[in-house]
Amino acid sequence: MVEQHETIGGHPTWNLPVLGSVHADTIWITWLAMGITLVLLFLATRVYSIKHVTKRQTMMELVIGFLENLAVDTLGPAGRPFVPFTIAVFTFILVLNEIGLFPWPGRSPTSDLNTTAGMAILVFITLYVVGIKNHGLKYFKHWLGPKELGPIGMILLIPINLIEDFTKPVTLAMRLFGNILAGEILLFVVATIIASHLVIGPLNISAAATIAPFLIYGFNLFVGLIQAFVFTLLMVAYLMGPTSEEGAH
Amino acid sequence: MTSLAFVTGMLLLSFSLIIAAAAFGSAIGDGIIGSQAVSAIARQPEARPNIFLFYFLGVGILEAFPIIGIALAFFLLFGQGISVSSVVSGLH
Repeated sequence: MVEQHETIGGHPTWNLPVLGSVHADTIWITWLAMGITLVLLFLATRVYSIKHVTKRQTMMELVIGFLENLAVDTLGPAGRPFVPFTIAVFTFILVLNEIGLFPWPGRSPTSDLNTTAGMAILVFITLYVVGIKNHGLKYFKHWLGPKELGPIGMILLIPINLIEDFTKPVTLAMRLFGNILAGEILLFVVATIIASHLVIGPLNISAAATIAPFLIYGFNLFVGLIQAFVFTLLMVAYLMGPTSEEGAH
Repeated sequence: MTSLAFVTGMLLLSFSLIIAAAAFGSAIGDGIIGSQAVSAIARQPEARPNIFLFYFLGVGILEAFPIIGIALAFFLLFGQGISVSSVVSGLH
């Protein structure tokens, strides 16, 4: 019989005065991840020289140049103001995903839907603020379709465009949340199998499953990197709408 | 058969069906992306880093919906007041 002290998706809670009941471990591990991200990026760019190019500088130039090319190639010259935003989002989500792999703090904050929903709401607000800043209130005309459809077609397209505008942040949040949570569930299930001493006839399944956590850790590391990149890439792709020259879409 | 046993059995069955459907869809999608990536590399081998990048990008975006299904299946199974220990002890 196995004693289960952990649940899938259970969090210890604090009761804060204004906000009510919040997930304790998500909040303080997110603060820790913010500190780690700041320290990491600060240390990586502290010495920048052209004559003595160190390995650290080359590595950082590789990563940051990649993200900068991503923003500028996708968005054109109008994408240059968004390069620091892209770098920040990518690095922060990468650290959030991978901090759950270390033994000490606990689960990744991105395995909590609150964190990923917060990032998705950030992207949603950014899209509208950038669109209104570039086009004024005429930005909302992008809910109508292209002009070739005629008036009836353009009005019929309004609900579809509205649903698309709300589905974008929802799928961003659910994709990141689902991928990281699936990694944690996998580790939880393997731990349960190992702890329950499962022996079927001559096969000791529990002993055979002890190799699995190493492979799952490698997979989780990889998935965290990929999902951070997918989030950043989709955010840049969604920014193509507000920053483009548009009349009605 | 008691009602609790019936509900537990149906929950386990539905959980397995959801996971099977998610795995099936994800496998077919990954296979399509992989085969297109391989044929693109065969056509133009010097574009390999670019295609490598797009392969993982495609897999990352595709795997979103099967993994959302799996996460919801876990919430369906473990959110019903059936404790994890009772499910595990049923494995013996």
